[in-house]
Amino acid sequence: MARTAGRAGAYGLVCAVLPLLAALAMGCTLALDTRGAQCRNNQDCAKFAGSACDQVSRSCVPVSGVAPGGGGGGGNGGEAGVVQRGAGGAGGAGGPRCRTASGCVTCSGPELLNACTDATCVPFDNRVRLMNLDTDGGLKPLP
Amino acid sequence: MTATKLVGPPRLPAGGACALLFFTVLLGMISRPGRALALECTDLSGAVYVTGSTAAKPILVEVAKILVAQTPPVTVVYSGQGSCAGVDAVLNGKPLYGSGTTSLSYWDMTGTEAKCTVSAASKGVIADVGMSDVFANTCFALPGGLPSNMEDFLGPIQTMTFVVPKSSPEKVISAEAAYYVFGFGSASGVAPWTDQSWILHRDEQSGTQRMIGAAIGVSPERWKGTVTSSSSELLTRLTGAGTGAAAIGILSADLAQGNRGVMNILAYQQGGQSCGYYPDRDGFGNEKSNVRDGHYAIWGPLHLFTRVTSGGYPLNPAAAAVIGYVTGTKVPPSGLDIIALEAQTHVIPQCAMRVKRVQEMGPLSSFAPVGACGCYYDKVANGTTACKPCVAARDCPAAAPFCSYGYCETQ
Repeated sequence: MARTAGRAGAYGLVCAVLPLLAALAMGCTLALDTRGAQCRNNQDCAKFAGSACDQVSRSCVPVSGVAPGGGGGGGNGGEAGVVQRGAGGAGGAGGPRCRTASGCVTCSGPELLNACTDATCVPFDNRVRLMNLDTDGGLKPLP
Repeated sequence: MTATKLVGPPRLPAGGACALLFFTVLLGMISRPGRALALECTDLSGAVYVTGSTAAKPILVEVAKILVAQTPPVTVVYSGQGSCAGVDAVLNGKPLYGSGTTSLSYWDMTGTEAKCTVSAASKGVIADVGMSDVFANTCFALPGGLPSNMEDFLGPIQTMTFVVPKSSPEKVISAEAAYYVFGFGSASGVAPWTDQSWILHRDEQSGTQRMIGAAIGVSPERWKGTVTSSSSELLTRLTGAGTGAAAIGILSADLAQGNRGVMNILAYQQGGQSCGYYPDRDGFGNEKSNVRDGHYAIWGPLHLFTRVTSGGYPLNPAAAAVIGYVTGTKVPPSGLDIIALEAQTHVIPQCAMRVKRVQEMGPLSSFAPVGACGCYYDKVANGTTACKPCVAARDCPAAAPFCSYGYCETQ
């Protein structure tokens, strides 16, 4: 009986420890962070003409991109909460057209996220609404 | 000294032991009837085991109805778990178990759902198909890609959304704002989402959380806020008592759009984007035009994983049939309109897409599928389309010369 109790205790210990080990192993496997670090602010993108720092992907994107307080590049093209409509469709004569802060303009290449469209859009003004930016205007690292 | 003698229980006569055994078994059957009487999944004829994401369950039911009516019948047996569990089941061969509330589902020819069990005392069963909302390497580190004996077949497109209660005045969120809200919780600095108890999300196994996490740059295990055990719980809390402008959550579009009466889907502004867009053109339809043309960024294909031959074909013919119907590469029997079903369940067939991506939240590229169905999808999703109806290619103009699914398409 004592041996049985001992064995049960050992099984209990194994049962208690295994999930912890598994969770730790899983945690290590799942802790993926694929974010790059091409830039932290718009100054880092100076070598790419007409680009700004995308604070999420930390990569330089065309100037129509969003740069929350990051040094003047980009912009959100309107007041928060104002529903807007784009002007015309993408493509057509004269090449692809992209939505920018100053309206729908011809752009150098296909830019699918910002292609001009008749769809409703609602700008979110990062410069006004993000109150917890880093001192350099970029996003703070996660706590 | 008195020796303590270890003794066993008093012995019963043989007849008494037999009677005791009978009543013990009877008592067990009465007290736990479900467990004693539930069907073992392994007793089902021609079972093909599917597990993982719940998003494609409505389509799977229709596929199950087809396959169980075949001769010989194939029974689709399904265990709904998180997306990463679907990957795990095929990638690592993690066995499936289920009883009681975790019993597996199967369906008859009418689509009536029944339950079966796989006892924890057994070796379990190995899934033939794993379904996931996200790429395998979003769940597991796979520096060399998938093993050569495993394939990822891409199914309909799923859209992930940020949602707020109907009473909230908020209309839009940016990737940067979402980074702060879900990465910092109460310290987000993004009003009105500054109360962690109303920042609702899922756990790190959730495909919804993983895909959105990839979009906003918050890895799934670092989310702040209140964890909910299921999308249904999140929905209940978001729309329940005490909710208000401070509440925000994440849901896949199938649930979010199916509950528009009690919540609003936020427009989303991806990093590098100059404006936020709804999944649908105006925020009220069902045609997902902004997903299909690349304006709404948070989407990805349903992934169906299975083990394959060296030639890349599914090892299990029944698994191949399930995958073929769900991905639209196998023609369903007449009477079953998979595209209409996908529209009803708020997913998008590949043939209706005009952009594609090959990694989680990766860059977009233009996509022009042969046999396009965008016009027909518009029609079944919104009840209307601007496309020209056709019977044959001769009915179509030069700008859209192909007659596909009854409408003139460019491909």
